[in-house]
Amino acid sequence: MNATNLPARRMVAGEALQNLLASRVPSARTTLRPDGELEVRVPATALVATARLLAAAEPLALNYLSCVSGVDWLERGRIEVVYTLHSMPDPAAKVSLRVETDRELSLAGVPSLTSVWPTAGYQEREVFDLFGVKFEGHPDLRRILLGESFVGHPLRKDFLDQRPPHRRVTREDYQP
Amino acid sequence: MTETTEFRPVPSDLGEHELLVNMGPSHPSTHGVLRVVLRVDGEKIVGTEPDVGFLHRCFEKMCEGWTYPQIVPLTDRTDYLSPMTCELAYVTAVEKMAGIEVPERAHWLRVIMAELQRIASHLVWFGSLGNDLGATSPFIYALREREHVMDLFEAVSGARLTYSYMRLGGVRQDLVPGFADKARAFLKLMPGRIREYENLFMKNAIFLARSKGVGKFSAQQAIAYGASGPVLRASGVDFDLRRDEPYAAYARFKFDVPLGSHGDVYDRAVCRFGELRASLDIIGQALDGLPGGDVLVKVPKVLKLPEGDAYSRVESPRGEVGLYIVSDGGTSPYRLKWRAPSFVHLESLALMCDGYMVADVVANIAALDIVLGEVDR
Amino acid sequence: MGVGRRRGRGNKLPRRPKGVRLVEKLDSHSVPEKSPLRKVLPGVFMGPVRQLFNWGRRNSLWYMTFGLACCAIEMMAAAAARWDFDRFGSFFRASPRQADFMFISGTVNEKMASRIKLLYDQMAEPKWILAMGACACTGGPFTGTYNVVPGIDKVIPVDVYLPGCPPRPEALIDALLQLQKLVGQEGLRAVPRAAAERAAERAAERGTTP
Repeated sequence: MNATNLPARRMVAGEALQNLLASRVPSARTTLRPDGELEVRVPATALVATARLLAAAEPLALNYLSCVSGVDWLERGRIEVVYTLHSMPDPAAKVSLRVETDRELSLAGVPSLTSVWPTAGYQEREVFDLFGVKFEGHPDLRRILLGESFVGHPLRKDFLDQRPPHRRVTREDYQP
Repeated sequence: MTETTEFRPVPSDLGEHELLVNMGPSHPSTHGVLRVVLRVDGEKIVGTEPDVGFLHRCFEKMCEGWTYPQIVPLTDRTDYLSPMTCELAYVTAVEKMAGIEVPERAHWLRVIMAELQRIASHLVWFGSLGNDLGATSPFIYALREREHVMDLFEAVSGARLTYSYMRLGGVRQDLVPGFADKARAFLKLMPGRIREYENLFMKNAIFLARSKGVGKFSAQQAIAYGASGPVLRASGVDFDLRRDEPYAAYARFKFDVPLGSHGDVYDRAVCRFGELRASLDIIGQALDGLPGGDVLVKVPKVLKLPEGDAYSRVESPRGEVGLYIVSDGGTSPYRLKWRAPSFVHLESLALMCDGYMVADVVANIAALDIVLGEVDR
Repeated sequence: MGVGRRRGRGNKLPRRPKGVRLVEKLDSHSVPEKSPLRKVLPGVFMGPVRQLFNWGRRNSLWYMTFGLACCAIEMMAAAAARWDFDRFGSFFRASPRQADFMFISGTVNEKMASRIKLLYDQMAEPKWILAMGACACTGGPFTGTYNVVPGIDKVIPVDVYLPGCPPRPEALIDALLQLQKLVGQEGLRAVPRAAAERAAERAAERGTTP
């Protein structure tokens, strides 16, 4: 791998992926950034197909899912889930796969990508825990970082901490 | 003594069932507050389920309210065994998005600090590995060596654990007089000590029995489960962010990247020992060729990043630390996501433990080198 | 009375302030000629029973490290070779049943608080709590967030507060010495034992459900 050529090789790989997606997934909107990262925006219905396509692309398959993150766009009323993908072991391909869903708790849901990249398991659980987005097809969707009795999804922009105030405990009034 | 030949019949309702064993969150060998629920059939593990969140400190939500320079000390506390690397990850990500050009000397100093931090972190890993597998002496020896690194860091940043040394635009201050000499003395001391540890520990029959063939993890599994760092390299995948996607001044250095083949506990240990030696090499090269100049450029007091988002990653002693920052043009991030390698590795703990024995869980957790601060953030 | 020399009253030892009775090491001057104690000198100490008990307690305080976060690393460093804790008689016991005091080192959050309470209840009397670090004292840099308890003293009673982020091992040793001073003031009157036993049993039965 020639690391010094990485930006140029990223552009080449990005263009190839852009052409691939343009021909196979018409509903995908792609933007190639100057540093070679390809932004891919798809509707939820095309998410799994796009993911499988990217994971099997030739010559640089995007087989490594680095990061799954949720972003709460309060004004637009949408929550965006961003999957950052790289190719491994040659990192010349980099894609950020984005899907949006409604912010409303009962409607927030996207298909899970654990069938394509198993590492999405914990990270999607974290997005569910902190944003409330349900992932259809996830093998074990429940809270991961917060306790089971926690109410609310704290990384939402309109979350309010409604715990009662804590009071100091002394030896005299400690109740085991 | 009369011999009795009467045998009691086996009760018809005697059966076998799995046992649920709870490990943690208060456990001497779980590297923090990790809870692992094990389903065991006798001594064999049938199911492993980590339960995390006992140290969730709302780091990402806090970042949305703090300004970009204020977040630097907060990043120290995510992976508290390698805070320099966390700071480096954060400042690299923000500087890339903001277009801040850092002076060359600062890049070299960042490399020196990051590699010293890698040595310190791997020493703690080695000590904990020994401690978890029953040998307490490596712990004391390793922490003794680590104190040299702590002295160097304290000389240059003022703190022993949470340095806030890397700043947006460079590093906080230049090397103090005597730093280079002390660092070189440390570089002369370490190879002998590493050899001593390897002779005492890596060739120990008990350690070999407890680590070879334990927690096997193939290369395909490693890539599919998002492994990075020594865990990935121990499985045979030749990938190191410092060499393949360089940041700071790493492109100027030549260093070995140790590779394993089986992906078991032993290979991960061998990879980390190799990284110790490689880090000493890099620090030697950096001290020899350190360029002159400033170490900090002036950054606007109220720093606003342009709208947009970016993902940036560095190689920490644990693996790939990634930072996904979304900016809406304000003084704080709109969203800051910290991709922690330990969090991702915990998912593969089940793969590494199922089918092995209960004692192997401890070896696997120690070889993964997780830090709960970054798992839970 | 017999054995010791009386203070003040014309002999050479200075008069001690009222109320302070410490452990004295007996020497040949303070023991009469024909006393059988002469045979075992100089290994005889005399003092109030309470002081002797407390001397034993405070010089062998075994701690249960509750290493939660970054402060745990400084605690490990303080227990390691450079700032040895063992010379104060303190060393690590993993089980709360065998520990005299607990270092709460790190941030306490809602999920962990119930577990810490359980561990505290399982500790045997007499027990003390040392809140190490800003997070255990008041929540530290993370105070005010949705998941962090602002200080462990909102959950269990704390005896020594040690601020710092993280406190240096020297500060940790100072806190241990403060705790030793506190232990030195313990009374001999027993803790209501039946109540403490019942509390510990209830805690054990409660299990880990928050």
